[in-house]
Amino acid sequence: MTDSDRNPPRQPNGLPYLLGSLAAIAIVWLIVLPSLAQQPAVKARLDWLDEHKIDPSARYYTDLEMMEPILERLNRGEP
Amino acid sequence: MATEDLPEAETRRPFLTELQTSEDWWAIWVGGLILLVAFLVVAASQSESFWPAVQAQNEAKATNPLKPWLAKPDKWTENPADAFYRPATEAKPAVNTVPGMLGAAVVLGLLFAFATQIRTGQGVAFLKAFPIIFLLAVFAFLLASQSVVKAYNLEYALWALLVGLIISNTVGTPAFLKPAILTEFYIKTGLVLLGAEVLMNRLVALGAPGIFVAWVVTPIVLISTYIFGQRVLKMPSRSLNMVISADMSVCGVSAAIATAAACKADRKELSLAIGLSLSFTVLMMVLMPAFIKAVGMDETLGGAWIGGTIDATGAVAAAGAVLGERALETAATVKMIQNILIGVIAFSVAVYWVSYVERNPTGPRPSVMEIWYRFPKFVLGFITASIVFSIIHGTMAGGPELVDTMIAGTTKTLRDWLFCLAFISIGLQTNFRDLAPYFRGGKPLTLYLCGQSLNLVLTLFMAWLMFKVVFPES
Repeated sequence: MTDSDRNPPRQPNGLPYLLGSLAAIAIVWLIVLPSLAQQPAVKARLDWLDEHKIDPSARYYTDLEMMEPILERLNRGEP
Repeated sequence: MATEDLPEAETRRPFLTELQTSEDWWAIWVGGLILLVAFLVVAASQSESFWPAVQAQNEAKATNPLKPWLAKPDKWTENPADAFYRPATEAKPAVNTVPGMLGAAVVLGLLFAFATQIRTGQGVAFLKAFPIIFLLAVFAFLLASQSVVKAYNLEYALWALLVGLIISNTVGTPAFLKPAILTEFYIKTGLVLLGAEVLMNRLVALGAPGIFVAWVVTPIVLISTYIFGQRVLKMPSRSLNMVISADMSVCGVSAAIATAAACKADRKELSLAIGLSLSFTVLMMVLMPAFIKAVGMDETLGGAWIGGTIDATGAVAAAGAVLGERALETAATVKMIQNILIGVIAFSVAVYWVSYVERNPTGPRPSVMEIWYRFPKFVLGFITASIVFSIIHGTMAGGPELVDTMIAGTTKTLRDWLFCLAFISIGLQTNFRDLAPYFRGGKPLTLYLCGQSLNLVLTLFMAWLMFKVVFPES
């Protein structure tokens, strides 16, 4: 990748924007998302994912816990 | 040698100097050292019962003594402190990720400080800046590990970018952080570690049908989409075209990272490609299983279709599981076979780029030495790691247990930290306004949509042909 970026210019009063962003993050992650997690449909999905050992944010097959029995079977040479 | 292709020929450094100072070679040294030490520690620390069990071809469980010392924040739902420490309950064991995170910080901090000192003499400056960058990465992982965020595949790359962007576009990135903002170095080292997970012997997991769906369709879609982007859409940036084509056709963010590094894409292009991929992955994860069920498609066929088209591995599993066990297993295995294609893609893109894209169109073809000089050397480390660990995994007694344990407890954690540090670095160096031109005309979106449409049609056809017509017993 090229190093073509200059450093972005600072906002003259950047601190309030930074604090505002952090406050928004705090509200979403500490209040909105935990409340959402308790909604029946969302909770059911989270429980279902846990039960199946699926992590939808897994990037590579080695990150997926549910692949472990498949990989062990492959290691033993079974189909 | 075509000197008109070599404006910098007179400033080329000797090979030995390159080995000592080049970022690509240091990515290989650092990544290679981590892999070597991790494997030797795992191999040397097995219990007395392990090797006899391996010799007798009984089930042998390997352990990794490094695992408690390398960790990321854990999943949490209501209380973010749970990501760092959670006492044991009746249902679950205790969680304490703090020692592991400190371990990762020390390992990466010392290795990169040493490398930076040799390369640029800025080792001390790096050590002063690195703890801050690392803490920002901890924060990004914390945002990503909230369970609702994880459930919708909104992975850490997104939040790391956001954290960096917020700082750089508000108060500005402090100058003292610059020595530790090493985007390409982190990415290349992470890719060398990822190479050890690209195990070629896994290719045959689903036999010929899996190889055809994952390894025949994918290059066709990638090349077709790239040509479409160049000839029809006339994308202004070839590298952006290639990164989007790769992340859509192969396996999402991992493929985008590897391809961007191989074709020296601008880091903003990588960010855009990842944003596109993650957005559509969420949609496809929900819509595809619903469609498959609505039309009454067979589980195996549906699973293969999902595995070959949805970008992210975790999202593939989530979508496949909706259809059933057989769909889940087929989908995840097809995606695994596609994951293994990353090495070949990165190598091929690198060769194509230095041989054709970077050459002077009016000059003669570049020589082999010219191609070697311009070739991104970290790809060699990536491929070598893949070859070495594929051989160990496939031929050594106890190889599968040792390699899998090494990956699970050491190298995949460190590569995630490295990628997260890279995306924090990208965010810290990017201006929001610089991203705007990429959205003009909607060409990246059009490219993604057209390419993914081709991917959906071709993958479904190939999956049907292989799993239902040619190899129905599969």
